[in-house]
Amino acid sequence: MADWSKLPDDLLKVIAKRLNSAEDYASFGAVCKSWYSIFGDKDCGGSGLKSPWLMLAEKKDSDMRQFYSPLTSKVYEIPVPEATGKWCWGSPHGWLVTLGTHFEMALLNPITGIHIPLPSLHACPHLNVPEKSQSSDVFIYKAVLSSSPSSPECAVMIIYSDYGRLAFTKAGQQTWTVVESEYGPVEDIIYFDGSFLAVNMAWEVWMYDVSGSEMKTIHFAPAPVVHEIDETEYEAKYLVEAGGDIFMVIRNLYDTASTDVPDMITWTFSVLKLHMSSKVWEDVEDMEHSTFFLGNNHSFSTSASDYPEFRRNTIYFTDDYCGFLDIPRHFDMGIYNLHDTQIQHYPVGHEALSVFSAPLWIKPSFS
Amino acid sequence: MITLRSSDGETFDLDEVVAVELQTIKNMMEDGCAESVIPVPNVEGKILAKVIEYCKKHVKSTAKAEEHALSDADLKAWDSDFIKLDQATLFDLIMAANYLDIKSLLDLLCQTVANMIKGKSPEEIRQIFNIKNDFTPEEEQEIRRENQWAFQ
Repeated sequence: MADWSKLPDDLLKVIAKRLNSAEDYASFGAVCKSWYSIFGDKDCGGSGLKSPWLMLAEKKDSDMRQFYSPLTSKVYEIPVPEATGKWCWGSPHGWLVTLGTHFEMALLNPITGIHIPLPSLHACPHLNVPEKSQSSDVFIYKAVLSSSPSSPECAVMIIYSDYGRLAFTKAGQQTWTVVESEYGPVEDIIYFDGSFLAVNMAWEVWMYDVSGSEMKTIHFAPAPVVHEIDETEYEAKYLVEAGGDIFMVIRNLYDTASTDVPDMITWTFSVLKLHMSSKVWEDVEDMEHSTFFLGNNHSFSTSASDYPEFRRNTIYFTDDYCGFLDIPRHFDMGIYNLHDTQIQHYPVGHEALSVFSAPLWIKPSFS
Repeated sequence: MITLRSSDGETFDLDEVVAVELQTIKNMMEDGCAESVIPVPNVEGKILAKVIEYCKKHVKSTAKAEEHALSDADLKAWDSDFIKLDQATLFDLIMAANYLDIKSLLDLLCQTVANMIKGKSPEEIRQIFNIKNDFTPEEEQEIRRENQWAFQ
């Protein structure tokens, strides 16, 4: 007699891992005791396995946060009080990095509600933290995690200040360590192959290995040879890993000089791929099987075959403006297709623009 | 030629090229402990028959012209028909594919189960798979509360 509640754990895990939708995974756990027992397993519900959600901006006077899932086309409402009134950065690990107005920082999983405080920025002598935060100057541009905090090796790196400096902290540490670097302002950071990678304003990529007691800095890749880009008001650079390769993405925006929001609009993207052995960058016209998620999150990619709800060869981008121009501004959000170079307005997320948190991409995780 | 014997005494003759699709059998052959008739005590005849049907279709084409070789698209279509099974047979097949260590069949079957779960509420899943709800009302309430957003 077929008794599905008696299916061996390792087979249940194989099935659970194939549930890409966080909603399906939650239903799976509520079926019976034996299915629920593997529900908390890191390998099944943990980082990187579920279809990305767009966390929408907070609504006035509410701790309920909305999450849009392109896979199910549904908007889920989850109470996330620890994210209210905070700037947030998304990640593929299912955790947000949050920053409050008094420079308190934390890691937060919106699904489980687990909140892990990080060392206060004020406590660190070498970080010149302003007295208090103005709404137009976030002080931190980006925050990325090396992995889910369930790993004891978890490290967090931030780009801060108006000069794009780097600092990091590791699990169990009480302080941030400033990265003393002469390599200029950093524009984006990701975690790749055991180290953080940073791209600076001069288009060079540097690798920072914080795993040992002494940080190691390695020149990872030289700047690409780029053609003149004309009429660009602003250019944002991103690094992203896809299928083991490193890509550099340049986002070109112009100022609409209008009072409508968003006031800075993206008009095109260029994508470069790094040839790993020669460290030469080449122009890419086709990301083939990938989808990129860039903006106010730890840049990540998904494979089009695993997540067909997202278009392949497409960049989903969000508003990651964070005050460097010293005036209130908003970037746009949308979808860019590399093949036809068309930008589409994203169907969700334009309402309730919050001073704290523009919509961001996150891959939900249950651990 | 390898002969397998199911739990209920049915025997099945297989070409070696098909037998090696079953990793468990392949290991026995390589270890030299494959006898003339290999017993498969965990799997009954009608299930073993289906397993062998799958393996025969999925055997990689050999160098000589294989009149039964199917294109990828044809194979996918065949697989779609193959998995049209009741949940009890599906369960037995998964257990057999796991025991006999046939990765591609196991992946196909697990994906089939995942597809049956997609978009369903816990109660619907229980009905499909004939699973008894063994939570107490309090336990169930607690679990639903944990991820309330999913059950709105």
